Amino acid sequence: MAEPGRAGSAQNLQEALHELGDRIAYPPTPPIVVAVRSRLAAPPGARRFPLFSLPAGIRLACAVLALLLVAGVGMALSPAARTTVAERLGLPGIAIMHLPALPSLDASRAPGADATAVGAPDRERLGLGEPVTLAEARSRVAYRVLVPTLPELGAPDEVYVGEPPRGGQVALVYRERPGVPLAPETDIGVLLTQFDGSLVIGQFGKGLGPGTQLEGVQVAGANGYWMEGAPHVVFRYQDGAGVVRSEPTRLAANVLLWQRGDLVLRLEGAIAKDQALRIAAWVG
Amino acid sequence: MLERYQEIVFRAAYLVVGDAAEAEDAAQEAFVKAYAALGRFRPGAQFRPWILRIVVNEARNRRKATRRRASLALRLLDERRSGGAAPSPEAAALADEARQRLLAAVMGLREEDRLVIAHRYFLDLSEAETAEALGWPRGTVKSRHARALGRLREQLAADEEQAMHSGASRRSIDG
Repeated sequence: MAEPGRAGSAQNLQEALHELGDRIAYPPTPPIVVAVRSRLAAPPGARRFPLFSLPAGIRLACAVLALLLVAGVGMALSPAARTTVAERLGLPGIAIMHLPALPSLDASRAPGADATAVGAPDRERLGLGEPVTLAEARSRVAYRVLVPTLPELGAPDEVYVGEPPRGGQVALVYRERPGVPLAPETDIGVLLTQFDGSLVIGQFGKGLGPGTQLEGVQVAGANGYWMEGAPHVVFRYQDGAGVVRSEPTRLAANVLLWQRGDLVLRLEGAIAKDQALRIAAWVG
Repeated sequence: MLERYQEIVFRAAYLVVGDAAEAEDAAQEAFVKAYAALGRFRPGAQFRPWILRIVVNEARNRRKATRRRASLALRLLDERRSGGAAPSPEAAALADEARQRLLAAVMGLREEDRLVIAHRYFLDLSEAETAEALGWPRGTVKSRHARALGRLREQLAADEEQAMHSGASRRSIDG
């Protein structure tokens, strides 16, 4: 039997390496394919699992999978058409991906229920986390929580803290306000979230549908991204530990994303761009 | 249909990141991409090295991004020898110690050399498959392979000399 300790011929060493390979104690292989495939097989009209409350790894898989389903449709476009869409977006790059519209906001409501009766279950579907007070939120996260100071917006109606992202995300919900339209199928006017991370720049965003416009903007001297008509979008960020993760938007509305120091900020709502930029400029 | 690649994909990721949860994430990413691209897969091309390339990329990206650079610690199975005549306790202990030393030597290699060894010997890929999985030209795989074996031999020889000089010799194996 080859004795691996003896610095012998290449043959012995290679045999020893093969033998070593047979003896590595790997962790048990998890059922990866089943998990991925079961997401793929879920029929569209069926009762939806709460996407946002799944572990980050599965969520990522769902998001990317959904992206690829959309991309599969997009493949039907001629290469020229696809290139035109990509060039039109023309941003140096934020990694943004489009998800097909999820019926998740409707599925868990009983048929015939009042479509305007949204409330607490709605928040659960949005996966914002645990409802807290602003003071509690400040004590729960390591970073200094930024709050919009625009007078007409006033104080947030609801505050949540949730994880992921790592380190906690603080979500501020503003309901009805004069001059602020509500996001479709919710009672929310403006949603502002923040968490410790960095937007991943350098990966070109692709797969956004033709109805979505993506534009680079400036927010308080930093680069921001404004997306209009982006019902369901996933953007990538690097979390506090440096791992790249994906984060889905929560409302089927417009999105303003920007970086302020160590924080990624996101403003969602059916609001117009200049309104969003104004709110963002007053965040401090 | 893809289940049979599950284990090797997961293990390939694990050999890079050394963490089961990270490996699972990377493996999931690979399978998601695989499902989407199946329709575009070049007929005749090998699936296994292709999906391994995806997962190794994912895993290496994760390892680079993670600021916490934990040193990878592979463990060996604690097993009784399978088949054949039962060895003497001395022989078993010696063999085990030798394996540990070899594993330590492999883990001490620089990353590219370690990847080649892991792919060729732990995952049992051919040179061509290794080249495709790692995204390197075949010549590069060949030379890194040779270099890795050379380094391992040097390291093992040095270990052995040290063992002899320290007088901790237990070289009394019965033939």
